[in-house]
Amino acid sequence: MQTRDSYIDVLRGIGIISIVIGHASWIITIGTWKIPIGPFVYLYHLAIFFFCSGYLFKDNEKEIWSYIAKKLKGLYKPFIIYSVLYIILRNMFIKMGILGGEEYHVADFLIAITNSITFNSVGELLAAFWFLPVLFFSLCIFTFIHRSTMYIHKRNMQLIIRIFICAAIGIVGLIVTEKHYGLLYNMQIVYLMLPIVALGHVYEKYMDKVNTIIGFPGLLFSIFLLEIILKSDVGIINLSEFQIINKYLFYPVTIIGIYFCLCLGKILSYSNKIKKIIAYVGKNSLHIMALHLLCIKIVDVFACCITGQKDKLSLYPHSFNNIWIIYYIVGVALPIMIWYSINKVFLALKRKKDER
Amino acid sequence: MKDDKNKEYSSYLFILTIITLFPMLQKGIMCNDELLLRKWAQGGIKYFFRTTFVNEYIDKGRILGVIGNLKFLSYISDNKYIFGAINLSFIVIAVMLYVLIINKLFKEKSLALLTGAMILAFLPFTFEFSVPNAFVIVTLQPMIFLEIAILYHLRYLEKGQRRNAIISAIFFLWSMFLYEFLITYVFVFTIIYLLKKSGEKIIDAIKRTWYYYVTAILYLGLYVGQSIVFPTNYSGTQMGIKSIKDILRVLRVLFSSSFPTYFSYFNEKYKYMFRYYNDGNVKWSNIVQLRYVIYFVVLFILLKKVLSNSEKNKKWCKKDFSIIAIAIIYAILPALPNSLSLMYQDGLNEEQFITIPVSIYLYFSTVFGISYILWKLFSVYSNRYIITTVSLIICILGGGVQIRNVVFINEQERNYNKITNIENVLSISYWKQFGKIVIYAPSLYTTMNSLAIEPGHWTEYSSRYNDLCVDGNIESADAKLEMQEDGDFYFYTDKWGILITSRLQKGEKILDAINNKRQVVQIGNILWKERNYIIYDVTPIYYAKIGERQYD
Repeated sequence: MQTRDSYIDVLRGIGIISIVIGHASWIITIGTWKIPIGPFVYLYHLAIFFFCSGYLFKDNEKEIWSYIAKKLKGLYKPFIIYSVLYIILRNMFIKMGILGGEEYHVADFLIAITNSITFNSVGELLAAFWFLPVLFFSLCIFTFIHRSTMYIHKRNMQLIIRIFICAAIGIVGLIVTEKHYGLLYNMQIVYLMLPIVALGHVYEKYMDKVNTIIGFPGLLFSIFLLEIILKSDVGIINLSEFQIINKYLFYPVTIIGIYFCLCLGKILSYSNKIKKIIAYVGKNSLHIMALHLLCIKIVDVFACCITGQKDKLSLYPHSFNNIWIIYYIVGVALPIMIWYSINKVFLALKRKKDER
Repeated sequence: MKDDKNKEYSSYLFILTIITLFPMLQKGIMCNDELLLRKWAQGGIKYFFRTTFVNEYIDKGRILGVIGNLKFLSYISDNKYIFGAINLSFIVIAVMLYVLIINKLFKEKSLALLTGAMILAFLPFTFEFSVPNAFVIVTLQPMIFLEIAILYHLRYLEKGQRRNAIISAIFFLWSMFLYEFLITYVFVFTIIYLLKKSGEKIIDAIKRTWYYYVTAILYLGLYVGQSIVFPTNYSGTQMGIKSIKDILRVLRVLFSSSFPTYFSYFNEKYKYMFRYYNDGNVKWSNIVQLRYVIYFVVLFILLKKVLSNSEKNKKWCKKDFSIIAIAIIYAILPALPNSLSLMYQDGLNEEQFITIPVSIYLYFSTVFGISYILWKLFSVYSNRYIITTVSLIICILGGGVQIRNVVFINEQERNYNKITNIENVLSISYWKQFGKIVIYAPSLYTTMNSLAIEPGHWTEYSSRYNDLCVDGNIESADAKLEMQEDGDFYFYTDKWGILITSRLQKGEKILDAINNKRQVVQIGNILWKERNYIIYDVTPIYYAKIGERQYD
């Protein structure tokens, strides 16, 4: 069980590193080789989180509301904390030049706070947080489907019906997203992602069988397929922009992307050290998600000072194209360091309080 | 553990198959014969069967070939991906059965996998009328049947049930029905018998495999009967000897072209074509491609594992030399009937036809021979460093083939896209308003590499949608139609003109007109919109000089 969980953390690590890569670069150039790294990671980087959540969903989760409360605590609480922090610091960021736009006045603060309380992302440097409500609602719906099919006696039938319901909702998601209907809380993406949550749950059940086809050959194969998709110019996946390639290819491509992550995760897990590092990154994925855009802008502050191109500072999400490697490292490492330090301070304070 | 290893090897072979054969989905149709079949298929399944029956089987004196022929499968849809996927699956089946035969015959997985990997790694995509470029089902269905016949023969030798021998003979007969030259494979059954039952005399082996010879004689009888009932007018099946030198030339060209890397490094025509379509020799951008890198890694791992795994400390023996000799013989023998055809004696040389449908059989045999030599060498002289070096060399050589494949496939895809573009334009309902008119459109009949378009093709195609007569020769036509480099069409008379395009356009534009002329036109109003096409009214302003800037 221990191994499985750390493997899932590795997958999350791959997911969050991919998110940072996608926000820090689009096409990187090495010599004459132009690598469409951004479009590549966008093919799977969010889906893998839904897959992991489906994997971690427990069949004995009988009490819907307690589960929802648990998820609310895990997703809503950090959402609020980070959102409020950003709202408070936003004017300072504008003054520093790392954010464009108008400064907030009282009314704007009120609107922004209300939005975040109602689980709406504040955007800008916390733009990646639009994902949290989507994940929350996906899990809520999945729990509801799971709970309402628990009365079916045959286990296989249970599973088939669940998959069928999720697939049907997924089809609705495809149609709605392709028609660019922006639903409240990005519910169109919630619908789209339900089959992926279900897939993660099914994977957990048949892990031993599926793992026989996961490995280095699978990694190469999935990279090859994903490259073909990118080269064939059929489109990209960018869920927040309603881009899903097309309704026929979205799920096959997403599944290939998840397969790529599973294979990569397995390869990385061969080395215990790498596994530990990536799993640690995965465990802190929420904080990286919250802080990586800010960290990328911090790199930009230094880069602009060094190059004297201060006019570039307000470019979003990053100011330069050729320092992607620094963005990657800082985008992943600095949020971990910040969170680690905050944690240490809190622990120290708590200890002092306890001593008193 | 052994199972895991086999699974790993098989998965690498699977990836190699996908990487090397993926272009099948991309290329579409690249020769006139298949374009013709596509046109017939577009006329409906009934029309397709009726026309192919008359043109392909009765007229060419190949009525036996109609029995269970699956050629129609390629044309069940005119979607290039379906066409490609069906053809691809035939290649995969043929290669996999070949690998299976080698494995069952020699009980050596490493030899079988090595042969499979080598076949895929060096399979050249060219503009020749042979697999994998064209005639895939026509050529590979008989191969698959022959392979099934051999597998049943092997089963018969192992298990001894007579039913297996009968099934084997039936499949062998069926394969000959589908392709005449397969009669040359009658000896293979005896050879396999000898390999399996070592120590037997040749004459005894022939006696034990007598029923294959009877099957071959039966086929010959049927073949003669068929040529009496349906006398052929097809030059490809008319035998004759112009001179022994010509026959030997045909055999030499076919044998040498069956060698892996022949088209990449040894044939001047293809070396020139590669430079032409690639804008020069191999460039860094040809190599630095993810697909190529994955190909290299997969092939290297597979070769290294397979070569390291070949059974050690074996010595060369007479049997090995015999096997290599048989491989060489079968890299020539199946081409013998073709070499006796007057058509091939005339047109087969290094400049014109270099390969013909039978070539894939020769290629399989040649690659098996090379793989056997390599496998044997590393069984006798096992050395880690030499294995790594040889694997690297094979990867580099195979990589060269893949680089050329990509360039040629891209060109074939461009050619095919032009065809589908013409089809789409001619099928729009806009043309109906013109009634019966004759259009002079030589650019629609331009031959693109091996893709020739026969006279009247587009008139026949259009007849399903309108009454246009689209001709490539009648200069005194009612109107003229010229296809542009960018895929647009300029349709005009002396008094008016229209531009058929798939993009929004405005302003002035230089258009190619008939007889290498160019016209500067003013793009006017939109007259019609249908599917992806927009039809603009255009006003000719003046004739432009070649090289003048193009407006967009």
